[in-house]
Formats: sequence, structure tokens, C-alpha cells
Amino acid sequence: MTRYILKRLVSSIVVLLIIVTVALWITRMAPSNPCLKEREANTCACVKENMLDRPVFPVYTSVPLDPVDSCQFWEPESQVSIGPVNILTSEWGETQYFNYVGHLIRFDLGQSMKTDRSVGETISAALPYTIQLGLQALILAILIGVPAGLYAGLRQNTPADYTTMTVAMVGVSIPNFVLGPLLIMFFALDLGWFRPNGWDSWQDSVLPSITLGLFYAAYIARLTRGGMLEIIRKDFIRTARAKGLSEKTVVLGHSLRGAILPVVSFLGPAFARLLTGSVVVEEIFNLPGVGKEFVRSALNRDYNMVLGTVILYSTLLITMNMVVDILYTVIDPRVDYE
Amino acid sequence: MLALPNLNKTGQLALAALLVGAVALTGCDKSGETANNAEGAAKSSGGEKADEFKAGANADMFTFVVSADPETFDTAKMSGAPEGRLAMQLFEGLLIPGPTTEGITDSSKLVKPGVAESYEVSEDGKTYTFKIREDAKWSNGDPVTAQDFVYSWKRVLTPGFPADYATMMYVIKGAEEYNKSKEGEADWSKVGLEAKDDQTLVVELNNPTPYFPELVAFYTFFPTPQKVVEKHGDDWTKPENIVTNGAYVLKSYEPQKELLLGINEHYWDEENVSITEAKARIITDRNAVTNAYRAGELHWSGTSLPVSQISSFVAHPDYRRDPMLGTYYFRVNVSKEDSPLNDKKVRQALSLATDRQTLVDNVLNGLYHAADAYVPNNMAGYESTTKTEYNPRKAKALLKEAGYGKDAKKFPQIQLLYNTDENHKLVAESIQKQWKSNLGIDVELVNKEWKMYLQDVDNLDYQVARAGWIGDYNDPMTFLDMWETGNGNNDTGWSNAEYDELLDQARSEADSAKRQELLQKAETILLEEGPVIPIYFYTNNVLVARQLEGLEPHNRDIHLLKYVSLPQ
Repeated sequence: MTRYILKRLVSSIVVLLIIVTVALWITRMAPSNPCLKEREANTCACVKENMLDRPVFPVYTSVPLDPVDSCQFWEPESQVSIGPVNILTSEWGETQYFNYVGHLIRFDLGQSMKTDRSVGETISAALPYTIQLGLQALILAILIGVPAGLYAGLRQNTPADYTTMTVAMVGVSIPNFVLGPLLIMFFALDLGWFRPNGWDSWQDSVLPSITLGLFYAAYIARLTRGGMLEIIRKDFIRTARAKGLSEKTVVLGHSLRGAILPVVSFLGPAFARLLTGSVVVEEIFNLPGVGKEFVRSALNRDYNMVLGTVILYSTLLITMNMVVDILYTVIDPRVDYE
Repeated sequence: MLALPNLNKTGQLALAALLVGAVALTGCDKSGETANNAEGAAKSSGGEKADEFKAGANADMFTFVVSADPETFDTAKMSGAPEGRLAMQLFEGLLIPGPTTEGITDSSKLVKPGVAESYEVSEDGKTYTFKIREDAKWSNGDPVTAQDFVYSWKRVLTPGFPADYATMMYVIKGAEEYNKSKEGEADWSKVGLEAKDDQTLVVELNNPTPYFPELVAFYTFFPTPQKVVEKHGDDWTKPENIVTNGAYVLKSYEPQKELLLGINEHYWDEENVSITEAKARIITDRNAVTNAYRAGELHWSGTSLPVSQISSFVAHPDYRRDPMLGTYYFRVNVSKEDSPLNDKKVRQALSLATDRQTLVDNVLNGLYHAADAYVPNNMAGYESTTKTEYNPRKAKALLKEAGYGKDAKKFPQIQLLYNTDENHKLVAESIQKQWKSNLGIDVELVNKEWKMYLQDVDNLDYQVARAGWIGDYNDPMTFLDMWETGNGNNDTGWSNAEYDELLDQARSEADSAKRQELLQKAETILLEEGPVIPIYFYTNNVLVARQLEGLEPHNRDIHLLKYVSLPQ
């Protein structure tokens, strides 16, 4: 197991590095740049401050750098600067890519190109909100989804099954940009039970958690039901029933473990998706989470912030997948990593 | 992803009921409503719902909105509206904007004493001597002196310093040369700025500049605490380090969430400040702003309401429509080879074929004012002499003269560029129809995301593009100098020697009547030449708690909380 985890860790770092490289390249290829403003502004100072006058990746040349006039090398049209860098000497750090990676290995995500704050500062301020929201949504989804799925699975092809699954279908179908405003309208504006937006206390996280979690609750309900239908027909369940065990023991003791396997494998990516997918919910409820920062930085072409959030999201996704794989061995003894 | 379950009759009924319910509920959501039917909705629902909510009822202190996270608290670097609104509360310049611009025709009356208790202007209008009040203090108790202004203005002008608005200081003698010199070669002694003593600041200008008092009330000209900057470097603006000299101090700041402001106990006018604590909530989405306002969490919506929601507020007593010093217009690119838009007559035809009044009345719910000129008609002490007109017949004739129309070559399709926004889309579609029906011109609408739009405009990679301009100060120059040859904001390729000459003359003209005449002539040239087609003058549509006193209309949307009080 330890060897497996170590192997996964090493491959995760390689995957992360590939993601950083591709993401950095894509941000630089996107049209426009962080320094462009509506009104005439001091573009050159901004370009220099953010090293945009340096090449993204190393380019071979024997011409030495001339830092005084480096702003003139910058080509706003292509976004890929053409300034020379002498890779034969020690100027690797003068490229945007190696400069970034150099900082990254020291766990420094750099400075935001748009605000006075560092990327690390911004993310650490926003992440707790996103994680709390994601966790609450996930717990809500499990608490609703698993019992609903069990309930429907045990009553296959009855009105109870149909009703539960219809509600689940509606839950899956309603996008959160529709559900969110509806919840705000009823529970915040009409009934006054909650605040329409903002986050000062736990009550403020109720509506966003429901908005975010309902889709997953519905999906989990369907997965659980499917798992239940499959397991309930297995021989060992028949045997258990034949032995005269109580229905409660058969369902909770024998069937549930097998029935929720698909749910467990879904939970890892689901949690990662809950964290990364909270962008719309954060916007609707004006929550100070990472999703909002991500959207804002993408629109502003704040390269460092974009990369910072991409790295964060990728790390979460990779970690969650790994945790799920490990959890598999705990739940299902047939899975063996050796 | 999910298969539809096999439903029996009960199930089908349940599903139908759920779907109908969902659709009906969705229909209640006003956020998707288009502006076209907003007026009718206003009449039917606005009046009845007028008093359903009370502004600020659920707020724990005076609460207002800033529309985005401030990028910086460093007044030397900032250039955006959210930062500016906060800077006005935290810092104070030599002079400060008055509470309102309504009814003021003398631009010198737009400002009031700030850090400077008085100032004198030399006879030629080129030298300003500011007398700094002795009780002006930083929030740490240190005195604010003339040297603080020399330090901070020099900081803005330092070559390579990322000050977006350094150009605002170019009216000062030698400032432009200093700012543009190479690093290490700049000579500060040639800049017309001197601290005679702690209380006296002398500024020499290149030309008599009647709007200079308003400039020094702008945040780029605010003082910066030298000791704090030198101690903390770039971190001096962090809440734990920042020292300010305005009516308020920054008590805390949570990104994307809120800022808490508290009164500056060392502020010279502290005893006259009524609101001692304020919360600035950061809300980017305008629908979220209106929701928070409806829920009684705000005293002031801060930003303009979404067009789609205005209908439900127009009858509410908290709703206000304040005129702004801003123009919405189309830029016309005259630099493309073989473009029909290079012909002045074509540009004039496009302007004459634009029915601004109908557009404003029918498409924009009368929220704005049809632009009858380029310089907004609420500019203090200025009136445009040439007016835009709607005359499709004349427009057609001009197009014919330009060689297009019946029995002549067909006018090629042109592109109209706008950035993603419901309002811009409505305007573009309406103009597309007007130009088609009045001139037979086919217009292709090109919608781009903000930064891509900016790049296209910056690279002159467009034919016609929407634009907006909010004046930086109350003088026509802020609208007219951007069209000078070589100005970084021009972005049309248009250049006119006579226009440049008129603005040059206006700059050195000390007689205000003659100066106005020169600027009027320049505006006439601009409208006749048509690199810009004015569409409408902006208004600011906001919600302000009716019990609030002192938050008066201001045409640049500048509001100092020190003027505001909230009677209980």
C-alpha cells in the first residue's frame, strides 16, 4: 500500500507539472493581457513589472539581454513576447516559464497581476469558504441521496420508487443558476428566513449548500438505487434472507456496503467537482470563495491568479481520486493494489 | 445522462405537476426579463410593491456597496471606480469634491477646502499656492505637510512607476518630461512643484488650467505617507499598516466580502462627521445588489441597477436617476485601407441616420438621455454649439454623394463591435435596424468579451465600436483632448490639424469666454468629422435610503461619506 501511495504521489507531481506547463502556455496564448485597460495607462511599467517583456519559453539566441529597452520587444498582438534570451548562459530564469516554476517549487504562487495581494494570500482567504460550502453540499447530498436511493431501490417499480426517482430527475435537471435565484426569492426575499447573499454566519451557507448539493443528492440517489437493485439479487443476499436474518440486517449489514460502492467512487471526483463547480453558486450568493477569484482572474487575464487556482483545483482533483482509490480497499476487500 | 423512468399514470401526473411548477416558478424570476417589457411591468407592479422593503432595516451600521474588490489602496496606482470610491473616504487631497454638482455652473465652486484651507492663483492663472491647514493630520497623528504632497506627486511621476493616471499630472510644469525621461536621467528640479515650508505648497502649471482645483481633488493627487511607505514598501496598503489622512480609516478588509471603515480620530473635521462606522460590501453581481437592498441590508446600492430590474424600482421612493458626466458613443475607425468609413460623408450619414431619441425611449426605457452633442449637457459652465440631429433624408443624400446608393456602388457590409453586455447588445441591434432601414446598410454585429474587445480597439482592428467615456473633471477638455493626434485614448486613427490647434489655443487661453469658444469650435469639428457618433448621455440609476441625508447627486458619482448623515 505504501509503495502504491508513493508511486501515485510521484505520478501526481508529474501530472501537475504538465498541467502547469499547458496552463501557462494557454494563458499566454489567450488574446489580450493583464496590462490592457480601457483608458490609456502606463502599460510599459505593468509589462515590465509582470515580466511580460520576457519570452514565455526559452528561445535560442546569442544576443545578450538589454533590460533597459526590453519593453519594446513585447508584442501585445501575439501575447507571446519575442524578447531574446540566451539559453547558452544562465538566463533560464529570465523566461516566464522557468521563473514561474522556480517560484512554484519554493511554494510561492507569485503576485496577483491585478491586485496588491499575492496569489497565496488570495487563495488562503477564499479557500475556507469554498471548502466549507463544498463539504456541506456533499454531506447534504449524501444525507438525502443515499436514503432516497435505498428507499427507491427496495421498492422497485412502485409509486414510491417512481416519485422518488422523478424528484431526483428534477433535481438533476434544474441548473443551479435557476435553483439559486428561486431559493433566494422564496426563502430570502419573500419569507425572510435567510439573507439573499453574503456570508457572515452558518445560516448564510444554507441556501448555497442546497443549491450546490441538490444535483449531487439526486445523482447519488440514482446511483444508490442502481447499486441496490444489483446487489439485492445476488446469491449472498438470498442466502442471508433464507437464513432468516431480519430485513434491517440484510439491507444495512449486507447490501448497503456493496450498494454504495458506485457512490464512493463518485464521491471523490464529486467533492472535487463541488469545489471547482461552485463558481456559479458563489456568484449568485456573492460568496467570497475561490470560484469567484477564478472567474475574475480569467476575465482580467491575471495569469498568476489563473495558474494558482488551476494548480489548486488540479491538486484537489488528483488528491480526491487518490483518496477514493485507497478507500476502495477498505470497502471492497476484492480490490488489491499489490 | 439519466434515463426517464417508466411512469404509470400517477407518476406521469406527478412529473407533469413538478415540471409545470418549475416553469411557473422560473417565470417569476425577473432577472431574465428584457428591457423591452420593463416599462409595462413598472406600471403594474412597481407602485404596489413600493414600500415592501425598508432600506437598511437589517444592517448593523451604515452599509453600501462597492462593485468590485479594490485592486489597490495605493492612490498613486489606482484608476478604477471601486478603488476611487474607497480612496475618497480614506484619503484627502488639497481640495475635496463638494457634495453635489447640481446647479453649479462655476467650476471653481465644485470643490471645497480639504487639506488646504485656502489657495491663491496668480494673475496669469499658472501658479497655485496652497495653504495647508495646521491641524491636517495622518491617522497616526503625524501632521500632513507640503512635503508629503511633493513626495507623493513625485512618486506618481517617477519613470517606471506603475501609475495609471500619471498623465493627469502633465498640466504641471516639467511633469511630462520628468515622467517620460529614462530611469536614472530624470531631473526633478525642473518640475514646477515646491514645498516652501510645511504649510505652503507652490505648483507651477504649463498653462492656465481652470480645472486644476478639481484635479487636486482627484485621488492621483492625494498625499501618501512617506514614512509608512518607506517602512513597509508595497505592503504599506495592508490594513494592518495603512495610514490615511481622510475622514475614515480602514479597520478591516476581507477580499470579495467587505471593508469596515471607522472614523479617523485625527481628522481635522472629525466633529462634523456624522457616520462614524461604515461597511462597504463588495458585490459584483448587480442582481445580488438589488436582492441585498430588498432584504434591507443596504442603505445605498452604490452601483447602477441592472436595466432588467429597474422596472420594479422606478416607482419606489428610494429610486434615483442622477445625471452623469458621461457619453455613450460609437467609435469609427478611419485607419483601415479601402474602408468606406474613411469618407467623412459616410460617417456623417451614419450619425444622421441614428434616431437617438427613439432608441433611448423604446429600447432603454428612457433611462438615459439622447445625446444631442458629444460633451454631456450637464458640464458646468459649458454648452455645445453644434447639436446632433436625426435626418434620414439628408443622411441618404450624403451617402449618395459619397458614391453609394441607387445606380452607384453598393455599400459593403460593415461590422459593429461591442463587448458582452445586455445593454450594449440592445443598442447595437437597434442601431443595426436603423441603419438598415434608413440607409440600406448591412451591419454585422460582433460581440466580444471585454478584454478581447479592448485588444481589438487598441489594435484598431474594428470598423465601428461602442464606447463610453466618463469625464475625469468638469471641463470639456476631458472629453475633447482624447481625440487629439497621438492621444493614447484616440483609438480611431482620426487626426485633424485644425482640431489639435484649437485645443492648443484653448490650453493657453486665460480668458474663459474665449476658451469656451475655442472648445466649442473643436467639438463642432469633431461632430462634423464623425470619428465619434454620440448615442446617449449616461445617468446613474441607484437606490438610496430615503432617510439618508447629504448623499446628493454628483455627475461623476463621487460621494464623500463625511457629508452624509443617517437620522434614526
